[in-house]
Amino acid sequence: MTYSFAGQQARILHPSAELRDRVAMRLSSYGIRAEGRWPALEPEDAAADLLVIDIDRGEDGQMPWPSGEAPMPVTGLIGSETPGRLQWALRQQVDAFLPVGATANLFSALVIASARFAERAERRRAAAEADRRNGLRLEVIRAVIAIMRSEDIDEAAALKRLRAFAMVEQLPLEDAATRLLADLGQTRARA
Amino acid sequence: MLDMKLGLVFSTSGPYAALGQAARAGADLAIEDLAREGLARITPMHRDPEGCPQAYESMTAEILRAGVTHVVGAITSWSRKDMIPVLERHGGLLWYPCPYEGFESNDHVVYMGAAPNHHMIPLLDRILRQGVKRAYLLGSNYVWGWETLRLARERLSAAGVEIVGERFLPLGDTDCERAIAEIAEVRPDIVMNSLIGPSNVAFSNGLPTEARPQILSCNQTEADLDALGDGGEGLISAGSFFEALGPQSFVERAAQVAPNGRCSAFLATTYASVRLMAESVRRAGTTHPHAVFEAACAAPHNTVLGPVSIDPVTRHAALTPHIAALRSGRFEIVASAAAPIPADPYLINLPPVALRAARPSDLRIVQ
Repeated sequence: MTYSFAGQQARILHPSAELRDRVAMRLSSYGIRAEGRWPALEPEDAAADLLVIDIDRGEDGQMPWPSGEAPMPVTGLIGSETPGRLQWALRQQVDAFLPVGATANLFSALVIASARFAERAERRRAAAEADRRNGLRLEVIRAVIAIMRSEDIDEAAALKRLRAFAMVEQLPLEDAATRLLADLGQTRARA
Repeated sequence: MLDMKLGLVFSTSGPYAALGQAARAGADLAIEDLAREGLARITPMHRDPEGCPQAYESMTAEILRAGVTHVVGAITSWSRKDMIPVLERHGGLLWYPCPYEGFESNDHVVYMGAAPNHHMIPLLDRILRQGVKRAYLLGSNYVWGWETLRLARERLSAAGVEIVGERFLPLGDTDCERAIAEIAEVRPDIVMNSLIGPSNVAFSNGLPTEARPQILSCNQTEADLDALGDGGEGLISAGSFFEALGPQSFVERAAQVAPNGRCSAFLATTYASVRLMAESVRRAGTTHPHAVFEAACAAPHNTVLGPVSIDPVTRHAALTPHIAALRSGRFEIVASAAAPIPADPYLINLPPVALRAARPSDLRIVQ
């Protein structure tokens, strides 16, 4: 796969105008349009595709989102290796970092940051889905009881029936339960 | 007259000596011409790393520690990547005169050789127009082979060409029997050959001449053509210079100084690099790398490669891509771009495909 960032937008949050320009020029060689910011990002910067931040002087509140919830891959430029600064970088969920003197290799950092961000986003999505389904456990119980009543079968057979329905409909069990309850409700309404 | 020292780090011995010798001949000729024309008196510091990667690092350090700031040299990407940290530490500038695989833009390098959009991309586009169906990929087992063949695989596959085999040989390995047997068995229409040095010679001579697939290369030049003998006949190569392009007087003079009597892209690009460097030092009025680089980018240069301009952002030369066919030991030009093309080392101008699946995975796949 040839990684390409052509046409993307980046923001550079760094106090040094010289460095912002240098990084912007580097990004332009990858086809990325970049704008520098300091001391803070602007609200519309949340729509940017990539973010490069200064770890040395970065602070909470410089970005228009809660700490660690950047909606794009974040690459940190690192100078000081003090534990305090590194802790701050970790809290920001920096996806990749680069020594500030090594911006010639920024392309690699962007590729890694983008891949890590995608993984992070996938984990968040999976966790949210698990939470949503956990919230539907009662629906599963209600659906099993409804099947037991309407079919006059025991709970094991009713659960099996529900699983079969989920499989046929290609739905998670919880969503199948919700659907089945709705269908039963409609059937009753029509009857 | 400008008076300066210049580091020249070329392996004129070792596994890819033919390329180093061609490049060194180009540098020597440029130095001689600059002196004769009264433009510059350049004292070269020659170093021969003998193809040993570690030696590039130590020899470059030795040159830079002696107060020399400009170096022309490196052949392989491996050697260039070994030189870069030293150049960074000492503030030196490398003028790199070879074709390479792209994906680099270091502040201490000027990339004078062809980038992928000067060699592999035009070559692939040409063969795709010819209706190729089956391709075999063969390369030396290091970054040049990996990256050129990765790009070939990606673009050929996307165009529906079946990749019927892929093999990498260790650098310097001459045992090509398995590759040759596979090619005989799978009968591809083309072989994309990124082998270098002795492996390339062994393959070209070992592959039966009858019913040969079309052999394609992005690294075959006149510098190491002799060793191929008849084994190279019909080969198609892509690059930024071939003898047939001239200028004739330059090709003739180059032939007199080149150890193999040939003028290659390695020779011509190194010649152009030394002259361009000297001209830029003269314009800048200093050898300070930053000022010299700015001067180099300030205006286009007339060179033996044709007009060449340096992009201040990518730090690469804009070059004219050419494709040539090898007939009876001579490359005949079969296609040329109309004008120099800016290098696209990160391939940002290729049409993207299958992209933007979801916001999080905003990496683009370009084919």
